[in-house]
Amino acid sequence: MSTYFRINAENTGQFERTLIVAEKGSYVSYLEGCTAPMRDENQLHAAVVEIFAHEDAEVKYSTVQNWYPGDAEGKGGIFNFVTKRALCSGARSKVSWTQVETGSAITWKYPSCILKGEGSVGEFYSVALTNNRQQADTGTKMVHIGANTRSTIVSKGISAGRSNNTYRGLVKVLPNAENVRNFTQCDSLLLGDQCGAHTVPYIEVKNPTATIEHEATTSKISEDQLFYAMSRGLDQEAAVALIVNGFAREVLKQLPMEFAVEAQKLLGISLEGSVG
Amino acid sequence: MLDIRNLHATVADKPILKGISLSVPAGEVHAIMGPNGSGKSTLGYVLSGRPGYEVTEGSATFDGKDLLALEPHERAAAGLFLGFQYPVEIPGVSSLQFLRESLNSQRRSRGEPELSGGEFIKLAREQAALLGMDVDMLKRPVNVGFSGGEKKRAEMVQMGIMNPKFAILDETDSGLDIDALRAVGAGINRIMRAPDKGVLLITHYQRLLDYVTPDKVHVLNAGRIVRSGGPELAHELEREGYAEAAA
Repeated sequence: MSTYFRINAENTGQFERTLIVAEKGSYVSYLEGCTAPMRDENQLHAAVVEIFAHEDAEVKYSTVQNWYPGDAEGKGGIFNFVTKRALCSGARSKVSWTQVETGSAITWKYPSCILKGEGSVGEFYSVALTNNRQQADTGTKMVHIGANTRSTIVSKGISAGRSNNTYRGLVKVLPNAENVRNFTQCDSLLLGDQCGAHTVPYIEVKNPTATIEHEATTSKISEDQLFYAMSRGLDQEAAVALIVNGFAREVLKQLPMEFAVEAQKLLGISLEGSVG
Repeated sequence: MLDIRNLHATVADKPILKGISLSVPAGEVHAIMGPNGSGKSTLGYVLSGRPGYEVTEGSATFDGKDLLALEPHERAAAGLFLGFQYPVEIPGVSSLQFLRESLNSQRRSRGEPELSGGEFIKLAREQAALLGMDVDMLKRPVNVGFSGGEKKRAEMVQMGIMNPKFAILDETDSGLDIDALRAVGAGINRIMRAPDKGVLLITHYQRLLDYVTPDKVHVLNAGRIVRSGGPELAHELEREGYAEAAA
């Protein structure tokens, strides 16, 4: 299933609501894309998405968010304040959030999974790219209630210009949740010396049988990689786009094929003029 | 083909190259030898346009074009190839994707048609096989998880795919065992020994020159060429060391 959201008219906001109920043993892959035209005034997008997964149901929810980010000085752009939450109610149910966030002046968004059904699985794969004056504060919440529940979080933040990019996430294990596993990886890539990357992980574990792993790295784009790619014939923008796409590969490969190609191009376009 | 006149260069304001003059005509292989810190790698980086290597005096022309005025990718499109002493890893990007984008970018600049996916994979498979490398290695991210020897072999596969007019090979022989050294030497001869091509071979040791016979050998010391000669000069250096030969 595929949907497309657009904010067209001036001085309007968009407040859509999406509810997905996946019946026993069902599978759905849902894609959404978002764009908006360039305007000097800020506009609000505040959506609610809720997913309910019954026994053995699987929902794959993919987003490519490219709302207008405002101009280079931070004038205009969408405020993107979104609530996304999933209840993995049935045993062995699974919800996977994949997001590519390149647009919006400000993004606050934390797609979450309440893992209630025994053996249910939550996944969050995110690429958030900010340039110029953009701010993205995004991450996930994985709340483990049922036994043998598992979650995976892979977040790739790319900051350029004067932007700020924050991963904020919660992994919570309740007292009755036996044998929970979580793996979290948060990597940040900085382009230039005026941008910021922040990682704010909250981990609350109330059951001693849980296995929780958290890995995080922050690095600047490597001069060695840039020169190596340029010495082979790529101009600077193509070299940056190639390296950034490599950095985000783990997440991009989660997207359905036709979306992955678009998302790769979008990362390149969103970074134009950011290095040099 | 490559003309270097009185080239001076600094790195972080420190003079490294102090007046290098060197001419490599088409059809020749020149070896640059010298002790650590003599400026050999700096010469390669300056010629390929690495940021941070500043030319303070002199000139370098390639087929009559002012090389120093070009960006690194423009030098590649003009036909220059730098074989890295330490090939760089690019996680998440397969060698095939990297090389296809790079080659097609060069071809666009030269006004040549781009290679299709099918044409490119055929070329890559041929070139990999000629260096005894399985094309599956090129499906992996660029240089990630390769051994030192595999990286050097992969550089030669890259050179075969790019098919440059002129190659600057920076210690391509370091870290190679005998079999790999032979394969790399044969690769250099096969790809670059032609009447319209040239090579600048930067090396510490004679051993690569057993496989690739240079037309001229230059000894670099403290940023200057202190001696030039034929292939026999490399043997003399091997016997007597740089200190003697440069004296």
